[in-house]
Amino acid sequence: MTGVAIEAHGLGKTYGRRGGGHRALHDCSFRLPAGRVCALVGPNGAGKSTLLNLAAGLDRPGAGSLAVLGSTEPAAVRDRIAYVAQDKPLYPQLTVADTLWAGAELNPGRWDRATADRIAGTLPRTARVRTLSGGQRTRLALALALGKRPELMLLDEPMADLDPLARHELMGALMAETAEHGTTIVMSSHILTELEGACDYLLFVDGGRVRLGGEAEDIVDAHALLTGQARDLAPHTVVESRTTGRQLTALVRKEGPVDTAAWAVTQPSLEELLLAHLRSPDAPPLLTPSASAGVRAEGVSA
Amino acid sequence: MSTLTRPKTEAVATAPGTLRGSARVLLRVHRKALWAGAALLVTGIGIVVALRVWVASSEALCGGGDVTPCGDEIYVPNYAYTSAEGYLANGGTVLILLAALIGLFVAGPLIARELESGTFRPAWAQSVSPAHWLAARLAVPAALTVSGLTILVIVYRWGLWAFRSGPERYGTRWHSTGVFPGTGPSVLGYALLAVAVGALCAVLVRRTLLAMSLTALVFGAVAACLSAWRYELWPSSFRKSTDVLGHAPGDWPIDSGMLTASGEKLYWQDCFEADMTQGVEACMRDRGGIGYFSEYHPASHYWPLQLVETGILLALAALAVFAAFRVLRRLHG
Amino acid sequence: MATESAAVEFRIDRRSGVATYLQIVQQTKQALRLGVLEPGDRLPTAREVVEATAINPNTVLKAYRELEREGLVEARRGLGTFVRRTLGGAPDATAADAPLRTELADWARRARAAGLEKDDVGALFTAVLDSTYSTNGTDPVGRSHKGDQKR
Repeated sequence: MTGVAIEAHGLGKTYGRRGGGHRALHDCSFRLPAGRVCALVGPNGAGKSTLLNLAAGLDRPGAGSLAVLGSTEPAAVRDRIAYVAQDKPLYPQLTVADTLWAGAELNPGRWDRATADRIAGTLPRTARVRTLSGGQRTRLALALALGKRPELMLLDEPMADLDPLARHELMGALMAETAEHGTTIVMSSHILTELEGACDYLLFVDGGRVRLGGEAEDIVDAHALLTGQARDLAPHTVVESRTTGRQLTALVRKEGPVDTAAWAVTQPSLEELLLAHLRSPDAPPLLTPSASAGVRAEGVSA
Repeated sequence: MSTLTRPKTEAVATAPGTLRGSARVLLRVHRKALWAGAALLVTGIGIVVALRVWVASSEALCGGGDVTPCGDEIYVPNYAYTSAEGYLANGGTVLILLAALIGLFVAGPLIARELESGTFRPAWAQSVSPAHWLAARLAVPAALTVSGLTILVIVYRWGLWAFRSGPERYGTRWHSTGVFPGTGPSVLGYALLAVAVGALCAVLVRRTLLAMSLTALVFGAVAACLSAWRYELWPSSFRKSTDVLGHAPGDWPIDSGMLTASGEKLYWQDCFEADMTQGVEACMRDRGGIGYFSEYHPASHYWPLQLVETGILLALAALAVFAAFRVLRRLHG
Repeated sequence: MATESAAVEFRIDRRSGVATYLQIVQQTKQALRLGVLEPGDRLPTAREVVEATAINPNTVLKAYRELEREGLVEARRGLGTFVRRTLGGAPDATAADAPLRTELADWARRARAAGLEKDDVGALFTAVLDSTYSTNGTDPVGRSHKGDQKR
């Protein structure tokens, strides 16, 4: 399972008119290895949904190239991708049973009825989709997504509507899926705690590009929270620093060993790290080697 | 593991399967519309049958049939006969309206609403490509409409048959605007054009009401144009005589006037503004008219006219379908 | 996949600040010490663990690798992960009727009779424990930095 699930080079997407449109993604490059469970986090409007839309092959990038599951044309591998959009659109006039039936019809030769039924769980099969609650719709949408046995799951805010019990259960089901089949999962959220524990990979998108990307563990390890007397922080890259009287608190990206005599060093939590980056839009991006898109062919298909 | 052993060619192999699946899902999603369409079909058949039964069972005013010359040139039609004829005189228009209705349905609920509400995403995120998705939304309504309208055309022709022996009335003649499109294949062309235009408008504007309005506008314009210039679709026949010309029962008169010695055509309307005290004929004579002519479509032009009209509609429909796929492909790949 | 059910299940506390994989390692060791797990027992598969706890499968695998590295468990291909040996002085030492345990239980009863609260007993016990095992490294700073990250 050492493939690449998603690889983006200089990806750009602008909505609206060419001149004054909204630039949702700009020069966005990263790589997501296969088999990872990736948290796609970032503030609202950061470009998360746009990125998922492009990866699902529903939209075409305005610039750059995007390879999904080894295909430079994401739409060509759509039968191996599952995508659950943020608003969980389903045909409102169909019943739950009809929706699951439709899943089987639309995925001939792939459909795993047992899995879909298991995820749909206690949903009343004769209820119409329009009568379902938000959480129930999410469950049904996830049943459709898992039922097609995808190699890559793209989930836009999958947990937002779920109560804690359902969230735990469905997250467990997703994890079981990846444990058993090596499914790559990308889950977006603007609430990190929703995804913590489940995700081992991180893509932090802000302002249309990836600012942090890589193994969650490596990203945290690369940073340190320093407290001590105010002084020069070189050679470390300062993400954020705050001086209170003589005391300086700084979140730095370590460039070499930290002088533990001069600083009290603690490790930031992932959430602290993201908050610091959100407050400091100028902090340079960090992509670990596994998340860096190769230097292959900038502009080949641009 | 199992994800790796899956052969790559399967994506290609499942393509026709997903099209069939799309169509089946489409039919289930729009089950109510399907019932409504079936109800319309049954209603249409019912109306024609009822009219014929009514005409057949109504009492003739003077013996010998529904409509009988009562000893002289004066016809005394009964109420059933005139009413039925009046209704059937608009059968072609009704069928075109039905075709338009299908187009509106394709434009609105079938395509634009999905694009508007986002329900296309689960379909496309399943194994259905946008092209298949659109193909299903074109093929299913097209197939159903063509079959339904074919039945209605046959029933309509059977309805008109009842009046074949009666006196010639303008309303139910073969070339009448309200009849002509409903008696042959051209109404199928209208239906296919409506479906195609509906799809194109829907993928272009992606708003339910806007797409429906636009479809109505475009389709209405095409139908109006064809209706206005239908007589141009096939070269008309020409007849000349030194006497004033009458028309055979099956003729569709287009225009008439007088011929000069050099063979130049003078149309009656050229002299409409002439001095009325003199009369139009005198005006024509003044201009050199010596004989009469008439341009007309004989009944034998029915099929050429039908086929040319159908051909134009099909060509337009094909263009719209092509454009719709192009638009979808440019936006979504 | 083994048909018999696993011998333990893990509870993950997201707020404990202890890395998730360490929680699994610690709970496995605890179960070994208490005799809940015995040699030959099968640990739950990664799938079973993540389905119940909604954590990342790699975390489970990392914990099992750690346990394997310490020689406590072994992975048998296609069958699962099995306990190789137990922990603690001897399994008897922690069993319900082991002499040390009965002595401690006896001592706890006397402490209660003497009017000590549960917290007092805990503090006393920890203090004695710390002084007794003080040679085994006192590293109050480096305690768990490696594991503090949230994954």
